[in-house]
Amino acid sequence: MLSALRSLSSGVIVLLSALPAAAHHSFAEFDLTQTIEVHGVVEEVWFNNPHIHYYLSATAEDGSQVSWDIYGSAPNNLVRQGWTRDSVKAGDVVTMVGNPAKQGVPRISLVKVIFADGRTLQRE
Amino acid sequence: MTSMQSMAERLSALALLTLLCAPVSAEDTAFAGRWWLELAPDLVGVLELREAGGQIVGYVEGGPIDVEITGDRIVMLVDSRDVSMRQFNRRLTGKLTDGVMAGTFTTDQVEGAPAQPVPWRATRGGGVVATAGQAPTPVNFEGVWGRPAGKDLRKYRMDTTPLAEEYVANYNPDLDQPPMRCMLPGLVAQFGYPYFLEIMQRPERILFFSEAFGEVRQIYLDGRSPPEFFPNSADGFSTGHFEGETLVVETTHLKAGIRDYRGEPVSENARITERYTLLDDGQTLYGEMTIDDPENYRQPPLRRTARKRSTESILLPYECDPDSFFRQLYREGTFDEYLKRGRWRR
Repeated sequence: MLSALRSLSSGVIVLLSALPAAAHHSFAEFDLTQTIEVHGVVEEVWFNNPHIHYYLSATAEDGSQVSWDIYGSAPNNLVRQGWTRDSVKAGDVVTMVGNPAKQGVPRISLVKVIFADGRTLQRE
Repeated sequence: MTSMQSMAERLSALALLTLLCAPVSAEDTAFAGRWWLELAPDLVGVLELREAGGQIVGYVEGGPIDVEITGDRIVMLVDSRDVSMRQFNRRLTGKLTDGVMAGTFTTDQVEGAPAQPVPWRATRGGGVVATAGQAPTPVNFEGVWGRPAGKDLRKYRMDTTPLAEEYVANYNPDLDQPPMRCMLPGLVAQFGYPYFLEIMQRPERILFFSEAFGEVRQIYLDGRSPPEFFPNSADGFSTGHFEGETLVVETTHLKAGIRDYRGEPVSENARITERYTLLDDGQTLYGEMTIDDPENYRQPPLRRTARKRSTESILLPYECDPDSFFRQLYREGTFDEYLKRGRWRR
């Protein structure tokens, strides 16, 4: 499955495991034993309940563009951590770190955002 | 399978049968009853041991466990899950001394689990103990209460009926979970949600405002019955009364829902009992929920929650848009499958 994910984006790197904070729906769809990085350009910010999403365009190994669904936490939990609708903007070049979906689709459960200037946003 | 393996399994089954059929001794009865279970460093749960059919059976959070008692010693195998639904077992060994059980436990099948045995103990009381018959002395639960704090054992296996097991086997959490479509998941599933809660209280009614879904629960304290044709819903119809300082809430008229992520069901005939009490000089709201639903559970599952009083936050708005869920189905080509699953969706 991970090799399939690697082939989806040349920017995907396998990292160590991290577990999410309490959430209000199942995280069974994500492989929490693996963490990957996806590097690309934010296409769209979707900062709504029940969970936020960033849609990220990344370049695959064959040069094609792959749209990743970056699946975040609940907005209210993030807002209480100082993470707002404007923390990540469309057009930002970022690296998204998270747990990959088990189905091998381009979707991750977001753990951390790394901006081009090195700043980070980390989920509690 | 080799004959040696077969023999070993038969012997193992025989040993289990012998264990299950062992007569209850005087020592065993000293173990019977409700216990507050604490596993280092910070896990808690409710353990119940009781005599049934001439044997001691055990439950943690209402789910069955394997128990072996020999004299003053006890061994328990408690199954659990992590947030990724991986199942594993904790094996507790201990001894009953002066009314307190204590010992150590090991954890299997979990990467990073401590290699050395870790302490546990069980004491009488803890949580909400029996309050029936106590004269009502209402207390004020008003305030903003934070996200549920503390960690529970995430007991995995409940004493489910074949009907419940069939439902779970067909449930697809990726496609069927109500909150992904911005739908209330129901009283039971929402009990431990990681959102703030505000309580407002009058003598005749208590209101629970949940940040999740902007939900408002009404709990009538005036002894009324539900009006005729009251529709079944995610929250049902709730009445409450005080037993001592404990608020007891009973709910019926639920629509069929789910108990947890994996889709263990709750029927519309379920009867839910919640007990709330204040701890830590009023700074912690502790609640226990018992799910009486014989269609799905032979033994009522138990849920617990503890919330710290919040003086710094108010409830934030919750506007929910199912767009991202349906977009995911579209992106991943699962929309047709979703449409076919109406039977399992609640």
